[in-house]
Amino acid sequence: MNLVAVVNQRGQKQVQKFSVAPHQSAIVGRGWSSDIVIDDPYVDSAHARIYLDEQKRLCIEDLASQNGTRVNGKRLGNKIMLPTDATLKIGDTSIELVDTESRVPPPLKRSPGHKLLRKLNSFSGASFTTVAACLAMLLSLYFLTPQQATGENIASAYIGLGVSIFGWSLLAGILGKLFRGETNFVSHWAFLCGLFAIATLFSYGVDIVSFNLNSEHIGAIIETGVFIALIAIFAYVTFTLSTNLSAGKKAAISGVLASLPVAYMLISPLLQEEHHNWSGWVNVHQSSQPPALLFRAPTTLDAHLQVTATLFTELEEEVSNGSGSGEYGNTDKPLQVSDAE
Amino acid sequence: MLCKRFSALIASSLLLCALQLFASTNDSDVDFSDDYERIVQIRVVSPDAGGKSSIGSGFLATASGLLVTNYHVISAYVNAPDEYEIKYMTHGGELGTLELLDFDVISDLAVLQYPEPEDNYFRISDKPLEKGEVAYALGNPGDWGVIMVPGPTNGFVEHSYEDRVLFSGSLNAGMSGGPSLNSAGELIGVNVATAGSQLSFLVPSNKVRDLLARDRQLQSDDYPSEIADQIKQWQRPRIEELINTGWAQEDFTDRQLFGEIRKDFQCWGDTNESDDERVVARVAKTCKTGDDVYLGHDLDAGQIKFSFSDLKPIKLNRSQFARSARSYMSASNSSAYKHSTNYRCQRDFIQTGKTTEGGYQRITTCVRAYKTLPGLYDSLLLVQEHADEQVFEAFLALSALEPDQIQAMNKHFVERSL
Repeated sequence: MNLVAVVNQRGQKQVQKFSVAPHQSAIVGRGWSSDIVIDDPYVDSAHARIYLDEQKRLCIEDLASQNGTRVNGKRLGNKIMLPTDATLKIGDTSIELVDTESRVPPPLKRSPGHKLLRKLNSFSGASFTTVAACLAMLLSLYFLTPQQATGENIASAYIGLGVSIFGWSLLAGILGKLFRGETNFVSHWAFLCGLFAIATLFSYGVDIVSFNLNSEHIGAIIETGVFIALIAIFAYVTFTLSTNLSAGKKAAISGVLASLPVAYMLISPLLQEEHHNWSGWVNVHQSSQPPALLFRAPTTLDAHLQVTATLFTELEEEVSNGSGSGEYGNTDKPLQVSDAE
Repeated sequence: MLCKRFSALIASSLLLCALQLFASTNDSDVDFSDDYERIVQIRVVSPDAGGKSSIGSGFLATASGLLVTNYHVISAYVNAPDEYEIKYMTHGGELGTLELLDFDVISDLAVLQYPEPEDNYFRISDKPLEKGEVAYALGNPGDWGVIMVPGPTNGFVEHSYEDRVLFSGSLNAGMSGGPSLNSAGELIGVNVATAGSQLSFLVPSNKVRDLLARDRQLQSDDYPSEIADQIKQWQRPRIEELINTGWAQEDFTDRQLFGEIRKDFQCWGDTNESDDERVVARVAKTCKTGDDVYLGHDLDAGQIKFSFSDLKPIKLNRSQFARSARSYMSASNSSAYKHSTNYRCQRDFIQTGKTTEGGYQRITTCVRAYKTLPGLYDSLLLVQEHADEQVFEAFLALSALEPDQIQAMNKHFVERSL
């Protein structure tokens, strides 16, 4: 019986031909004399034996190996009959056994953009793209916040939009590749557009909520919710659904991605503080778009002044407490770095 | 904008000015040889660091040995009495320590105790200052010894709430706190600031007389509350008067607004009309007071600033226009985090009779407190009126005021702007 073993070791595929007969079994192992040679430190030199039993059925037997053998995900006890499309897992290597008689599917047509996407497959490619995507996002923030409506600023806003789309597409590339194993370029863009639509809807939703509930606590809750969701999504996508990466690298990438929002959350109050106090600039960042859904009824000047009056008492408390209260507590001494010098 | 602020800061303190070389002239027929001995150099030194932190001049003003200088010369000591000492060096090179008795942050004056009584002191002139009268400014800048700069006085500075004598002479860094004399050798002012070549300012001598007459001895623990009290006493009539005067109407595009509402305000207009490639027609006007109260190298206060801007789209559609008009506002005074809290803001949509269909009016008030000056706050106010094809913004920045005055000013400003 002529067979083909497709040896898949961390994404690298290799095909080895071998045959078994009633009195001729095949040895799978690290030893050079094995019929299927696997270069994997977790594999014994003679790890398992593939043979034909009396009824000429294909069987496998574990040769008391150090780390054992799995067949279609199930740990092999002693010896079993091999099902038709069996996948063996030995050490960190998976082996697909195919009968040479079986049909091979027709070749895939290579789609445009395949090359680029193939590069995302590796650890360094994925890391590099993640970093590039994050940089692109930051750059787009810079471009998208012009101070005045001059021609250059508007041009730069469009550049910013372009950069931001680029960043999103890189992220979508990673997500598409890792999440869906997708290599089709058009499908990628569809995926990206879907992502965009969700992100836009989400930001509109947050806008509407923050427009109408003008409370600092609501703002903090929304922010925390968004960050937790981001962390969960990043971690879930990279850790559970990525392919072809070892568990350690998956954990590393998920860790890095998940730590980005956390890092941002920790750093942003510092940036804000420094920004405020270094030059005295205050950025009244509010969307200039008229609020589409304004549930909060417009108030009067006197009512506004009444609420403003409470700010003074809050500030007085903050000063007398020294450390500030509540959410301002951790941002009270943002300039310690420079103070320490 | 930043540049303007910066230059105002520089003008507020001689110590921050670039040093200019010049030739000392003494072509008058007045004999000042005695006066040189009454000038001392004042240094604020840090015993730990060993070096001098700031240097200026001072002069003897009473027989009991009271010495007068600028507040800004010794401000480093006031802000950290435990870290610094005030030292003097006489014309003859004698060194010693001075004790701070009293100060006036608004006029930028300070009184120090000289170790021993001294008969040889400057008498304060009784005569009112006449325009064109020649003054002789004395000071001890750096290590070159005492020098004299003669020049005509030009009455009081026009755009200033506080009286300042305009002096056409080149005052230099280190001459801060030195006396300016008339030809009879009597004190008519104290050197305080310069705004460039031949344009300098003196504190009028009646402020020195008032300060000496207070005859107080402040304790270092009381410095912050004393500064706060002085600012409050200065601000109260200043702001009250401002609210109670009718603000003269001035046209700003299609609105009836206001501009130089008192002599201490100066306004500048700005438009991008000459820009052929503009996509938004912008007209802006900024007004501010000339009074900066110098409190430290990273803290000043007391400014009032307001501005209007009007934007109309030229080549942009509604959405592009709305996207392009983003609002920023900034403090008019500089205050580091160790002096001020962060701003806290309140944003509201408001409804007035003028709110148009599809448009809205928004009002944002941000206030921050001074950590060391109890009861004083800075405020920023932004009023925005958005319509489909027009954005109007009015902005008011107030510095170092008590809450009731901030509220009253903000209310008045909004009512007059919308």
